[in-house]
Amino acid sequence: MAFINYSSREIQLKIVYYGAALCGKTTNLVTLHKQITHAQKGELVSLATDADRTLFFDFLSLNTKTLPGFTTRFQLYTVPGQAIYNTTRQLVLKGVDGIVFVVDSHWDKMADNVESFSNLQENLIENHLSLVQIPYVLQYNKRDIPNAAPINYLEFSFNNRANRALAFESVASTGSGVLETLNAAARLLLAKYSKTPNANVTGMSQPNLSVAVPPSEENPQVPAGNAAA
Amino acid sequence: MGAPGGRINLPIGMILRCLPPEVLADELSKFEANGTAATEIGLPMQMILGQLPSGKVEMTLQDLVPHFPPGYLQPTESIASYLPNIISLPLMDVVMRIPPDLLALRPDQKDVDASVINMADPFTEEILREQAETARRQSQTNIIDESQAPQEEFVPRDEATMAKAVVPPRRPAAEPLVPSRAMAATTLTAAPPPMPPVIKLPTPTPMSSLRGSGAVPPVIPGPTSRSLSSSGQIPAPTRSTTALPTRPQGPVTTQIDAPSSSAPVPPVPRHTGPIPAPPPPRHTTSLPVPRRTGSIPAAGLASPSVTAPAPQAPLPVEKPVEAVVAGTPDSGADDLQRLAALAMAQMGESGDLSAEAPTKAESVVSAAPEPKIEEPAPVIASVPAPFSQPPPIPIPAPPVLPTAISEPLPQPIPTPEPIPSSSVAHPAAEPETHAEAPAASVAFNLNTCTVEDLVKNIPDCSTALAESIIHYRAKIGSFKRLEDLLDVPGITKEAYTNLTGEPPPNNRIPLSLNELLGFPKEQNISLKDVTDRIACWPDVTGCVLSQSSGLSLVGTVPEGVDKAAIVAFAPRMFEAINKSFAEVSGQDTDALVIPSSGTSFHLFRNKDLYLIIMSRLPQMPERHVKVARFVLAALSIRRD
Repeated sequence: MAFINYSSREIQLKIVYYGAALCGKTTNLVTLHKQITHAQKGELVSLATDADRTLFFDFLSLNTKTLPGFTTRFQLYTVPGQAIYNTTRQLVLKGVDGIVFVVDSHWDKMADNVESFSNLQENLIENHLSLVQIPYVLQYNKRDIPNAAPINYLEFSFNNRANRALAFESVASTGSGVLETLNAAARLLLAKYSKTPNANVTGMSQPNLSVAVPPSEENPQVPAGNAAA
Repeated sequence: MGAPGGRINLPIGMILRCLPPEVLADELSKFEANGTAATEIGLPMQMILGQLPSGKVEMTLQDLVPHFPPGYLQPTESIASYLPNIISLPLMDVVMRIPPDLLALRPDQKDVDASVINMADPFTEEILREQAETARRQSQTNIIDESQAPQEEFVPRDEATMAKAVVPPRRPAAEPLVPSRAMAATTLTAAPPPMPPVIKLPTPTPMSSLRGSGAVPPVIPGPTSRSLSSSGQIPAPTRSTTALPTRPQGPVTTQIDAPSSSAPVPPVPRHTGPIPAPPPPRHTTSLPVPRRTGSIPAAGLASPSVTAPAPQAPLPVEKPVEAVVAGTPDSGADDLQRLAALAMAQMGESGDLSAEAPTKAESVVSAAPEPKIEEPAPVIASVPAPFSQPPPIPIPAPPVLPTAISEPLPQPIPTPEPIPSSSVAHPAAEPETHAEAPAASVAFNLNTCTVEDLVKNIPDCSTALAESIIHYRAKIGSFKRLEDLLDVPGITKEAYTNLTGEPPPNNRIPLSLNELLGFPKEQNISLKDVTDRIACWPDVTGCVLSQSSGLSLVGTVPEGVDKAAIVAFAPRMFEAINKSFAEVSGQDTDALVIPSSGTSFHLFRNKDLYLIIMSRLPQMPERHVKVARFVLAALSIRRD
């Protein structure tokens, strides 16, 4: 859920990069950290093993000034893709505002991708959320490998739900499509929060307090998140 | 979706490789050697298609066996123990053999919200902003001392070209100076290298349109035409101007009124005259005149053929125009005062010109008849070559005109009251507007109606909204579709429904003021909320809303800027600029940008309100310009 800090005029939005193991989630963040040169970025925090496998999560904070009057701080997280870290994934998903689901374009990883996608839905349910409420973007990564799965098949497999999601081809290692994906996720979030703004935000002369956004009508489980927090 | 009864052909060899060797009748290599492995067998599409989204294709051996021709597998009895085994087929080989149409997405899928797609990319914007900031900083270090500064140039801006120009043209090669304006410009101090210290007076845009539409030619004296030629070549900077919807403000309205109301008598005979005799009337029935401020004569002037068939249909004469005055590098209130003084001086200077204007205007307005059209002709002849080109104005339906004109005029419009002759008899409007006809239950022509018509006939239609519609119509030439109304600044869902009798299409519901500014729908926002919100836009340092009288209503300005001064300055600046600008372009401008290296002033106005936005950017993002215009229109309508 978004956190709004009136004193610092800051909105925090949490985007989680989700996907199967070794699909390129951490690479996405590393590339973003390189690509975004402006000053408003934090350090990339990566808790990884020696083999560069994400152990807990990666974290990167990026700021924009897109929403009027506020600095919007996007906090990017990745989850460990390996199946055994499901509890960690559930934890990282807590309070998520948007999701980037990274799909490995390798044929052999297709089943893993699908499994990860269903795992994402299950974990969202654990957090009293669902893909209907949480804006998400699909990123078809590793498009540079030979015999990458065709896009129409990937769309058929991952983007055939009632609501079409934005999908991007990418090669995270080279940076292609990475920023586009993040931009799309940010747009989804900004559109969502600018459509259903907190009535308190409009006053501009609010007392200094840091509060969580009250639950919207369509997002009744936010209170659960609050309670947990 | 896909043919459930269809089959997908897969090579036997591919399937055999997935089977346990024990079930094969012979060794796999032998099948491959004798070529039988290449034989294809058909598996039911239904069996496979449903599994594709799972990222794998699996089936039991039992499911596969019936599809194998004899000779490839052991007898079923001998492999009974293997039958329940799950065989995983290679996904790539299977998917590549599936007809693409079977992998189509569900037809009822809801697409991504257009607002998301159209939204600017936050991070890209951020990067671009930083790059611009860096560039600006670099440029500031290279600022040339003022003594070396180049002379100010009169840079006309052509809206049409501006719309296409992606990259804001910095400094066009060489622009000749306009006598009077150039003088004024030269008095301005120099500008920083990157940002041309230019007095981009209003201009140009219309140039192209003017040539076609014609209000200008007669008015322009010799020297002016020279400047025009230069303007024609100049690419238009910035995209912000492309979004100038509310354009035709002040002068437009007055001109509209003038022809229709002030000179009602002449039109009547003219109007009735043309009816019997088709050919001659063409001149006199140059109907569009009243509606769009004397576009006719110009039209005739611009093109050689014009003299005969004056009836240029709806010419979008009032192209949006934006005047840009570049400030000095150090900018700020000092600049403003200097500019104000300058503008005042220019007012005096252009007094002679403006003195001519009325007469010209009158001739244009009241003299639709032939004799007067000939007057301007020689002037046009003196216009340099580039101007004789046909204007790039999109003329709605020229071919329709002759036939339409030859028809009996009174027939088309069942207007209840003495509507200006143009609106009644405008034949060209018929074909264009028939689409609108069914919309309004009152049955009048949206492309010819006047403000009064709208106010009288449309429930809850305020004068401001009606004016906004008429201005927008003047800008675009004519409404082609009912949906065009949705682009009218300040239009609301309710207003659209009242106008057309039907709600707007779902994907084009106009945003209310609240939605536009990100307030909850039900919240009753005040003017202060509006200016506060705008002041919170990126790079915006202040925003003030004021009345046309020069009195401030609400808003804040950055430190070091005198709010009262800037508010008082805005109307006078517009007045000064438009005094001469109207001569050049045939219309006033209602947007003005005074860029500088510090705070840039973005001034917008309509009939009764001024919105002044102070930004660090010399060029506000297009969407912000658009929102500013809509806000202004919406506030006026609300006040109304």
